[in-house]
Amino acid sequence: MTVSNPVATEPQDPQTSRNLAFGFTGNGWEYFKIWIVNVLLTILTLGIYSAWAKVRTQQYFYGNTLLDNASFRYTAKPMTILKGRLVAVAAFVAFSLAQEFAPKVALAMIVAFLLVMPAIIVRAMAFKLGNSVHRNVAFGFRYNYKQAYAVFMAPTLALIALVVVFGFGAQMLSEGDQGAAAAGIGIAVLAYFLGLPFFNYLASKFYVNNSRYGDSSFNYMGGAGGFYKLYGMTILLGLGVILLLSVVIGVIGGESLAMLNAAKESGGEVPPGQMMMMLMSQGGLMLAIVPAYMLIFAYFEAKRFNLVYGSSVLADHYGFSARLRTGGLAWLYLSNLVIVVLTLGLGIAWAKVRAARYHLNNLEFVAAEDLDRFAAAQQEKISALGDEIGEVFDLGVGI
Amino acid sequence: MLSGHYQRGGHSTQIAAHLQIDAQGRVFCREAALDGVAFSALTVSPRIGNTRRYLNFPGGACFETDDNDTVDRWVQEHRHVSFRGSMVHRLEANARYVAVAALVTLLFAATFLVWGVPWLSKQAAYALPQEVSTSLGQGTLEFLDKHLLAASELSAERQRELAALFAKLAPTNIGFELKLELRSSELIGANAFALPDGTIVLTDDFITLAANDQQVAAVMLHEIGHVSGRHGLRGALQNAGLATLLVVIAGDASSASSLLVTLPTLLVSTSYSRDMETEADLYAASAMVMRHIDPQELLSVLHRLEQAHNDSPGDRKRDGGWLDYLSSHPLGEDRFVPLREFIAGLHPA
Repeated sequence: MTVSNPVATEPQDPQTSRNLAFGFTGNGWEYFKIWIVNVLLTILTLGIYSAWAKVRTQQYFYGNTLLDNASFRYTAKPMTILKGRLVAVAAFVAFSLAQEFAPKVALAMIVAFLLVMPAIIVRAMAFKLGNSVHRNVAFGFRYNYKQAYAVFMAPTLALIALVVVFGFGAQMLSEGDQGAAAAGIGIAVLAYFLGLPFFNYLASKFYVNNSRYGDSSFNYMGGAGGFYKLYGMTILLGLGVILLLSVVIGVIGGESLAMLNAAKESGGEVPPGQMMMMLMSQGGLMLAIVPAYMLIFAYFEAKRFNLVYGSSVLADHYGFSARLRTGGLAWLYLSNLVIVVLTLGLGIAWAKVRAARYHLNNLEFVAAEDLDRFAAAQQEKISALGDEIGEVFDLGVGI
Repeated sequence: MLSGHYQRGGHSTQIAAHLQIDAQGRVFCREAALDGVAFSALTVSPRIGNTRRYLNFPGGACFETDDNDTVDRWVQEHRHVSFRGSMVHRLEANARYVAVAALVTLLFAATFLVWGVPWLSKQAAYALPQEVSTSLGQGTLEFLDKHLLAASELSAERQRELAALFAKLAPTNIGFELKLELRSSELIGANAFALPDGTIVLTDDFITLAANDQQVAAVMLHEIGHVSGRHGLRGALQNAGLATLLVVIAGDASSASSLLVTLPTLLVSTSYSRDMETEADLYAASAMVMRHIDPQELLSVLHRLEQAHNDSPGDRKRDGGWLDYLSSHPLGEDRFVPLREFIAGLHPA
């Protein structure tokens, strides 16, 4: 047989891959109506309706998210969420009470919580993804507890190990010098911070690698280098912004002082007009700190989003192209803040819709093959406890 | 006719398809080779704004469409469920209901925060067995002794006098075993506070600050008022209730608003503790009247305390923030208004 076998392992021709845009079709007013009715019914039912409200909200955002003209579907049942939520809220109330009155119990609760956190993350992800459906095929998340413990306990264990080794090591070497021990601990903490981007990389990789669509796996293709670059650049940007702000504050503050002194020496008063100008410029600076903070935050979030999505691949033939911009995201944060403040919170609906639209408009799915070749996997029922605990305690589960 | 996409299930294939329905409520689809499936056997997803709808077939197939009106009409005509299931959507679709909902929500939230949370926690605090208060306060004094307080430097005789004064004032019918603890502390200066288990702590600086024993008694009674009113437990319940309320409502809210959630929480919780101060003031004032002590002494000693904290070299600017929190005696002229009114009511001009 001399027939060549051209099919099996031929690399994909980049020409045939299509960029499929994500889109968001919801709008602020429509979501406002849904949200405010949700809040009202939640209040009237003493919180019970909140589970139904959550499902309705998720269904709204999923249903308005389109990829190649097919929507996403949120399939969680309100009763499942209600059960999980009741337990999570009970735990939250118990913790709040303990914090006030029994600090030791609260401490024990925190330790216990840290010990089960990796498992909670796995269950929360499994619930979220298991209830996300596209083209009638559900996403899923592997119950990889072993890896979850390795990834999420590693930072804490590393910190403890570093402190023990460096702290005690330095103390032993210097024969009991407290200063040396402190320096050792300082080095340990520094080493820990140097490890943070790596831990973050491990977590992202964990989230992506254990996710699947139908029976097809996602894979994280990037390395730790991208995260070190991300953290390094963010720190540089932060330092630059702080430097700039302090120079401006220093100049204006100095001028104001000089003006005041001059006025004092000449025995006169500062003209009210000038006083106003001084106060306004200082107030303006204080206000500038908020956008400056948002700019740094937006830089980090935009680059991280692009990095994680850009490095994720589905079933070897599909990927993402994410193009969030720092300026665009910073503007989104700032304008959303203004909207929410000016409307006494009622504008949250518009803020959420704008955020969803911005992210989805800057995300594309790169498909080297058709989208109709994914097979569904076996689904199992899962409780919402992990997801609800993650939400009530604000764990920020997910990429 | 209903246009959309038919998704067989088990697989991500989807085909553009059109559903038809006949007078008997049977669904037909040429593209998907459906030949008379009963519409009543389908699960139709609820209407949410103009979001796409999903008609789920018994075998796991799904039909996705954005033709909401046709779906609604089919449901109405063939399921005869004109109202049930779509009630929430009717609320959402009507601008007037939405406006009412927004108004009711704002009013309710405000009312609940101003009256609801304090009232509920008061009921809960009295409904819970007294042991809850007692057990919650345990360990606090040990903690404070370790970090903040030192033994009293008052003479043994003075300490005995104060203990006798306290024993005379302490009511026995409030279910708490009241204990007086005298301590000295450079950090908190002239101060007095009550723990939820009935322990009342007075600092040496405070004893020195008080002009006479009537003023010491006034503050003792104020602190007894806190214990008797179960203010410690109530405060904790209020904060927990507030946090829970916010979690429930903001379950929908984006993280961008978290600052906007935290700030009002702080303000509201401060106003709650202010209310409890007033309650303790009034408790003390009426107890003083019963014991023939002039309630004016309470007002004077509170002013003295305020003055001391304003003037002391360990000035409030340095550690005022958390000092205020710890002493839980918010300062300010507003606080004395109810007490003044009470005193004025005693001596009608």
